[in-house]
Amino acid sequence: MSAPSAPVAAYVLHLRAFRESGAIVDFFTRDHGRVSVFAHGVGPSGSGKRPRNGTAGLLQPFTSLLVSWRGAADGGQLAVVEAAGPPRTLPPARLMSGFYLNELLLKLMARDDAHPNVFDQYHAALEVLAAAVDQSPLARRAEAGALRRFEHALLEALGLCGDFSIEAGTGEPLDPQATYRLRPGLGLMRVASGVRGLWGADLLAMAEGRLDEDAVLATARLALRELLDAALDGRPLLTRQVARGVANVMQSSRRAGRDKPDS
Amino acid sequence: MAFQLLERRRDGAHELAVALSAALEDVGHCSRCRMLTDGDLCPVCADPRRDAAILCVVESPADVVAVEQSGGFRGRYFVLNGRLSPLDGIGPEELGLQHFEALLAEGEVTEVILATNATVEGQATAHVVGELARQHGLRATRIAQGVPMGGELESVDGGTLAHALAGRLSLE
Repeated sequence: MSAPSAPVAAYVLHLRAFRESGAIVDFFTRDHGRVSVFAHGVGPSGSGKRPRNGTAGLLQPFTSLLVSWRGAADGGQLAVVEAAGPPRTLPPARLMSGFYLNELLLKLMARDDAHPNVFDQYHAALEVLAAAVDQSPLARRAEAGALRRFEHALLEALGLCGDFSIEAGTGEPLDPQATYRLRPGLGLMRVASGVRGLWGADLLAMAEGRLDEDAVLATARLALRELLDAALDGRPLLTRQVARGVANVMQSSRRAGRDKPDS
Repeated sequence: MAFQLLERRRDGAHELAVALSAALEDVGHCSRCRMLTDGDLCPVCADPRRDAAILCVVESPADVVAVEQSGGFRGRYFVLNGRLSPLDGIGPEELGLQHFEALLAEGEVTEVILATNATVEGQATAHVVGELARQHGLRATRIAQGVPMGGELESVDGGTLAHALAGRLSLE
């Protein structure tokens, strides 16, 4: 059997049960991009015997790891996994955002295509999510900012993100007072005044990475979503659907709670 | 096993086949807790001595058996038959959370124990189920996580040990 690869910084994106007691693990690595390898004895619940060394405990999303494998980056065998730092747990209310980042990487990153900058942005986003422990407006803004920064970095790495500071066609800088429409693949087009669109001032702030005001965050969300949807080419984001399902069930439960005769 | 049955234990193979087809035919889900059962209600839900005020939420029927074998629980269960797994598209509907809500709305339950697995998906599941319980004004608790019985600290992995330290208890 071939020698294992040198250990690289990695995160688990997803784990799928495979055969009796194994799993196919999708990693996002700093030096090889997305890697998909087979791991023995770590299958999800009820499947066979587990290793004693805590590998199953380590192979969880959002934990900073060092991993090496034997064979190809697609279809090889996991060799060694170790923690690359103290364990990180995301606050429960931020887990859905974490899953969302993972799904973007799984759907948009090609295998064995290294993007160290995206990896660093992913790491930074997880740090922000881990620190956003409460439901205060500050924490929510930090969460939204982390997601938008990551989406931006990912789209840039994939070459799908134009310049948010200039108008397509003319190449003129954006007018802060004008509104624009984003056409994926083309860029920002000015729309007639009075027509709904993306506010120039917000787009300029976003281009400079100033993502701390609610208005800028809202514009960034719309603009990046437009680009992500084009990149996904009609493939739905399951995390978005599940998040909507969770929001619906919470809302109907709140309503039911209010309608109780004695509350 | 297939060779053993076909070469040496044909009668055993027949018994097994009959048992399996009977199970496939008769075993469904408990109308109350979604546990596997061959009746309308599972034995736990049908037992009037069980405490209806405490509801233990687990991921799978195998987890019910595990908790029952511990012998320390006298409440009832709710089986999700899965866990929240957004990347696989498994959400509240697949986990029967509307059914769970209807159960809470009956008003008998006062505490919901979240006994989902100690995985990231298990935590996400516990969070959503716990929020639902809180919205109904109920107490939501999570099972403790830490060093196993007979376990030695040096052989416990870092993540478990960190949880064990974070969830430490005062000596009475």
